[in-house]
Amino acid sequence: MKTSVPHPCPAWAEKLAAVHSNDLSPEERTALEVHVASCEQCRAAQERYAQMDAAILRLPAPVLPELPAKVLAQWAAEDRAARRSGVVRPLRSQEQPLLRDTPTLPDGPIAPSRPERRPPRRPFSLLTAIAAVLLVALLTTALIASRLHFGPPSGGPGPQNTTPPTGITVIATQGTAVISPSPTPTSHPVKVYFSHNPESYNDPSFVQAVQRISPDAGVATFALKQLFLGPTADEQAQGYFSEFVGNLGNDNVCSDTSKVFTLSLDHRGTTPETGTATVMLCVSVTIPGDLSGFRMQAMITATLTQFPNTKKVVILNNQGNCFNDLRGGNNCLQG
Amino acid sequence: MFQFALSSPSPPVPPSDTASASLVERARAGDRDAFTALFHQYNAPICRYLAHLVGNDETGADLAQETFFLAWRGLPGMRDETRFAPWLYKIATNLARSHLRRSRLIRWLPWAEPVSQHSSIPTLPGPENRLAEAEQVKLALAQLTPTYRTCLLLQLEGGFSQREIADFLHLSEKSVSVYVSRGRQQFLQAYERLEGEVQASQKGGHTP
Repeated sequence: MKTSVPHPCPAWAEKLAAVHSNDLSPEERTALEVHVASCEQCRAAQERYAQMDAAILRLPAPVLPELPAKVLAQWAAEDRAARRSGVVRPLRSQEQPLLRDTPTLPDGPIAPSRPERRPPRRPFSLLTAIAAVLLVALLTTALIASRLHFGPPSGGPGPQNTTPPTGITVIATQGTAVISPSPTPTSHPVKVYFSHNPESYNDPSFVQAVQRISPDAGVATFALKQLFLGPTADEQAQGYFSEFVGNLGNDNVCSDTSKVFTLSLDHRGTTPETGTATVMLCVSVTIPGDLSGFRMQAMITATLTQFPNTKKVVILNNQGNCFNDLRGGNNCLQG
Repeated sequence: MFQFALSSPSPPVPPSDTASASLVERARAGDRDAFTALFHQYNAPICRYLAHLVGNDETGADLAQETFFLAWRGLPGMRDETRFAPWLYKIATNLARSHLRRSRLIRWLPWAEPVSQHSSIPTLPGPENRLAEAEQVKLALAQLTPTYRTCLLLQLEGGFSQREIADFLHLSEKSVSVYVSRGRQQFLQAYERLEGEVQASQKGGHTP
């Protein structure tokens, strides 16, 4: 095969290929320059090597991945372990999937103006279980008694009529979550969980709640809408932020293009699954930073799991694939 | 005829280990911001290096992710924070070597043996798909003996001296010097062959 590749003198070939400033001593470099000045083959090789180096360094850069999901998962696991043990932050721990077990929220009244942090998850104790069973039995008895005294409620059949009369219960499955009946007919307090500066920059699963009053019984939908609208100016001044703000596209794929998302309770994707809510985004979302996608997931998950009968949350992008799915396996749909 | 554009890109600027030392020290203590800063500093060069070493951008990116994960886990055991870059490239290189050994490519290209003139030259597409220079450079790189390619890329893209390369590949400095020199010759010859095949295709000839 005919080739125009120059062949340098064997005695100088290795020195010609040495390009780092530490590879040759000053004396060796001077001697090389003297030789190259008088040797056509070595000069041609040196020029060709320089062209070759330039061509390799001109290769386009590959698409850069973000911070590895395994690292983020490990950090989240460390934080969970730290919260459970009361330590500020352990240095290393076993790897676990991110946001696998979002802490549950306490029920009960909400302080109207004071933001609250999510408390650490506590183990479900036998005592709690017994108390819950007794409470349900008591409520059921009360319901039966009230119906015996006053007859069935007026109004047509519907999910609201079958709901226990106290407590917040999310019962909608068609994109609108309602509570029925409400303790106070005209106000529906609900929490919205935002990221918070600086904690969420270190730990993307960190969220902090603010309170909103839903104008109607669609509290879950209302809370999510608030999440996409972002914190108020006062809340922003206190460090709250939502990276959905400013990062939503205009490519709405939903039949009702006024919606930013659809919410299906008791569904994993299109498959019925009790206790799992699926949020599908109608518009594309730009994920601006390495941890932004995880912060967005944490906000939605925390906001929806404040409702006792939503234990897990699946978030899909507007293509129907798992949101922020760095590995592309759509594992969120597998359960 | 073998041609490279005359314009030369900026020489590689490997991340400064001196500037990184404080970040490394903080990251070793578990500081996530410091590790994230190190990640942003080294992500692009490590991705480039791995992509060109294994000959595939996606695989290179996957290996880079694994590199940084292993780095985070291994930082507490790192002995000298001023030697972060060689340590990181060593992790990356070991992952790439494992990947190449697992792949079938290794059956065609023994790790440390020179390649014969006729081995595994890919058939180029027809004249309608004339390769861009970048593709031809990538194909030429893929023709190199893996050890030669590793030494060459560590030198060019990592910005390491031959002594540093020898240190973390467990080779003698003399061997690295020889491998880099032979790697350059192999690259130029492979590039010439590819260029010849493209030109033959364009003239209506057929390359078996």
